[in-house]
Amino acid sequence: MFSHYLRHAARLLAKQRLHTGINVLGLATALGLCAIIAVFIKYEHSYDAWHENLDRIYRVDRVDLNPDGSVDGHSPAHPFQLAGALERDHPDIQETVRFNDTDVVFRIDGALHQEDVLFADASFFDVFTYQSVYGDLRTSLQDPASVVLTESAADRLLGPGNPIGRSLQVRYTDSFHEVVVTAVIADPLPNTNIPFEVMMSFERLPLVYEWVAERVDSWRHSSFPVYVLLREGANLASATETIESLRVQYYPDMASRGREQGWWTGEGEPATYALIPLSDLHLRSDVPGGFVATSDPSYSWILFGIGLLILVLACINFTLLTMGKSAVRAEEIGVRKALGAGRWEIMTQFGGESLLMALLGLAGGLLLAGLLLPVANSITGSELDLLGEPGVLVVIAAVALLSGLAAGSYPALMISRHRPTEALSGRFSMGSSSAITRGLLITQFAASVALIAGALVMQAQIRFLQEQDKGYDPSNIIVVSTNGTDEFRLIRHLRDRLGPQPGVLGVSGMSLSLNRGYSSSVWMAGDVERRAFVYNVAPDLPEFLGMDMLSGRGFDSARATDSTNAVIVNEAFARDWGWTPEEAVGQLVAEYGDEPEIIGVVRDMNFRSLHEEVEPMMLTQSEGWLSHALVRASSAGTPQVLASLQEAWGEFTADAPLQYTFLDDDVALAYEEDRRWARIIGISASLAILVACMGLFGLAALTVSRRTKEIGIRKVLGASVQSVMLLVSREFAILVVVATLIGAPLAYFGLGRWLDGFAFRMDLAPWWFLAAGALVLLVAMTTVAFHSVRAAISDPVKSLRYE
Amino acid sequence: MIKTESLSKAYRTDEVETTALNGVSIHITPGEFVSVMGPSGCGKSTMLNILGLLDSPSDGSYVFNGTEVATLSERQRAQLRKGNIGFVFQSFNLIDELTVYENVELPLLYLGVSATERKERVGAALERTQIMHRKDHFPQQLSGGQQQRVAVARAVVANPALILADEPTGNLDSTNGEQVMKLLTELNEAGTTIVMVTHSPADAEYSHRTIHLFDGHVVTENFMSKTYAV
Repeated sequence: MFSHYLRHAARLLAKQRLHTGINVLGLATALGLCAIIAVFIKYEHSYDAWHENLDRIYRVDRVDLNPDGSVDGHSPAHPFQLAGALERDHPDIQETVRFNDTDVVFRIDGALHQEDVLFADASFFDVFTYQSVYGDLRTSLQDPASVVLTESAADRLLGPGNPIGRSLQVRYTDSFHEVVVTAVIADPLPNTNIPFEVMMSFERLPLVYEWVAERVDSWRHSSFPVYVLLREGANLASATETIESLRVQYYPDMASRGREQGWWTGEGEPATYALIPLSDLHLRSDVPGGFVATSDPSYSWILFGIGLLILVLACINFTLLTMGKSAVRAEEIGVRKALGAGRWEIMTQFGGESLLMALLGLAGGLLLAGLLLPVANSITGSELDLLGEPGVLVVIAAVALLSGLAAGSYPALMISRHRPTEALSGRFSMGSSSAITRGLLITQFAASVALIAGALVMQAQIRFLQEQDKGYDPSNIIVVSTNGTDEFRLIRHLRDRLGPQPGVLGVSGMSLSLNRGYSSSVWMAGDVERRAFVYNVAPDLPEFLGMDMLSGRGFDSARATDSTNAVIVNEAFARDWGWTPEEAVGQLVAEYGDEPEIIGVVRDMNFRSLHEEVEPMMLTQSEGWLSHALVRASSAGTPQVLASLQEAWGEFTADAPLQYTFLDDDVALAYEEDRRWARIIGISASLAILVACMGLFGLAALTVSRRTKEIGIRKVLGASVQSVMLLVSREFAILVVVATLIGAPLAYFGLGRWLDGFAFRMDLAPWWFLAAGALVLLVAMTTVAFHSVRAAISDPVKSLRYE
Repeated sequence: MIKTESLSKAYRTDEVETTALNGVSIHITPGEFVSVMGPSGCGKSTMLNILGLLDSPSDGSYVFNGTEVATLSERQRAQLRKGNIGFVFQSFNLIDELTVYENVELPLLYLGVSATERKERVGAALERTQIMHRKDHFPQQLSGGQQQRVAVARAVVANPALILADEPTGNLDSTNGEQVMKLLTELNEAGTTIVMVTHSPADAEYSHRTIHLFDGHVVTENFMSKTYAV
């Protein structure tokens, strides 16, 4: 019996190519997408999962509290000696590891390489699990002059082969030192909170960096993340209690001193310690990430929802088309019943056909997922692997079969219910006129309208952000990292060397590239907490960036005090202190440093992302350091300027490689996440409407074939081609209009919430939603037209004979 | 074998009630070959469907093989139908996606007959209807006459006591029609009871008796000159 059904189903599917094609393609699209999303979610949830001690590894966080006891924020940075103290004082802590993440320049065979180096205590390999390729990991970091490489970093820097014992030159501050390769590890999986390619001994830090040496004994400077390994069987609650009490022990009189000085009004302590499980780190949006950004878990679930939605759309197609086809198969069902088939046999047969279809969809989906995985990786910035996740594959297979059953069961139930005489006479049909069909079609189109509106609005908002007047001109500015060299000499050198060139419009410098990092200061001025983002700049920076000076003046190199005790602030700063731009000029910034004088006020500029309001900002020269030289080129001259820059850098230093970015790109980085989501929604919307239209295509075919006789009669009676097309298209058009009325408000609500995340947002005009509806209508009508035109221009005699 | 008393069937839509059969009482004994004739819409097909247990009467009694079946549920009728009744339709009603062999095998599959026995019986049925040489063909590759022979093979494969034929020659030319009628006659001579709806007086000649229906009533019963055992 089984083989009979299988043979029959296989021949049937092969015969009804359009029907089969639509169902399989729709299911394949949906399942492929679901497979990718499932692998992504699994990837997101298995950060650092390979460490044997995962359930015992925690990061120590300092938790700053508000006076009412609520959490103000987490900080993972700690004093140099906290780790030693915890090992000594905390009975549950077996091991501690301190980290520091720094860019370091290596010289290998005369070539310079800048590498992101993770400094870690020797206990690192006792706590975390890695595979050694060469060398003994347990002893690999014991010598302060040791370096551990991943296999790919060893290949890249030193070429193939065993590099143990090779010595490399490393530049600390301004001189080169020797380090020796002691181990090579197999490349770790990419989903880790602690990614590294080059690791060096933490012990080395105070020996080579003055700023670390100065902080070795200090409990006031917090710079180093600390991870701990709890003893086996240790209880998290009691370990947390102990570490909280140790916080009070290490900072005994903070609360009372704070109350005395007036900056703390709470009953309890102003800060405490918490242990954050390593396994939780990646998906906690309330704490800072490890050495990579955390991920908002809601994104995973939004993706999950989209995948599910498209799967539902594909299942709706399946149900609708199978019901539509049932009319064609009425005779067969009647015969089977007359020959002795019971309801159960008919249901089994239809269920089996659905399952076969689902299996084909599954095969297509996995193929599609394999093809689309590289695209997904580039969009999400991860390294997903389908074959490495057998669990996910099993889940997807189960989803495929369940979808087949779910989508096929309703038609099977309905079809098997009919009496054999009804079926034999072809008197039953479940076409597009039933309420269920209409409801399902409306659901499909409403989802399409909502997703398309989402894609349109998200693109528009990103364009809106990019076109916003930022208050300065970021175009064609090359941001050169000073890379540990003498920055003032570098800027002078670039000015001398590049300044006279025709393509160069100016050279300047600042401490942080805009949108790349922030240095914000918080201080108490009297009873008021003041906050400002501080940029240390070259004197000509305001003019260089094209800022609008509203009052006062810019920095004047001729005035000695301008370089030591003068600041330029923005409007937001003046507002915060209760001044107009005019009043602000000449005021002193109370209780900040040596109380510098405000010499000028610039118009508010968006120095951070437009997600945020403009906050108070100060430009100063007094901090005496710059980390970036800025070169503005003319738009046509950029390639030549880059070539000259390379040359000028080579003349300036042989100790560091040239590293540069474009300010435009740095600014765009702030919207990377938004752009990514716009793309994901855009792709989903396209897939959704594709799946919906495939279903519509099939349904239109069925509608036309069912109405062939009616169309023939109408034509015999004188109906024109247009009126026949209208006849067929009208019912679908009405459905799309209803769907727009349902989908648009949903999209309006969702997009409103998304836009609330921006301080600068476009207006949600109704025409976005009309446009989405019109687009869906257009696509739907084009789809239907394929069939309606065919029906309208066919010979009426043919269509009459058909019946 | 078949005994109906005042059998009636009415179809209802929202506004119209159509009476297809009105108080039909007939009696058909085992081994009989009975034709049912009458103009279009007289209720021939409705009667055949009810006799074939594909449909239930609105009123009256129908005793099939000694069992009152007028009040049975669809499920019970389906159970009784299996293996007891074979059907031959005007439009053949072969399943397009199944080969000749598979079409004929279908009733045995639903009866749960074992594979070896199925092979034997399908083979015998195909031999009997002289269509064995086409057993791996699909219906659309056959002529109308060949298709109807397959349909007859399918109707007899389960050895039913009763075969119901609804205008079996309606879609065939006279040569093929004659062949099918001879086939039915042979089956009848081998002991199968046959009830056949037809428009053709020539076909009716093959039967022992003709029941004339008009507007849902039996108007006359003509006995053919041939003798048959009661």
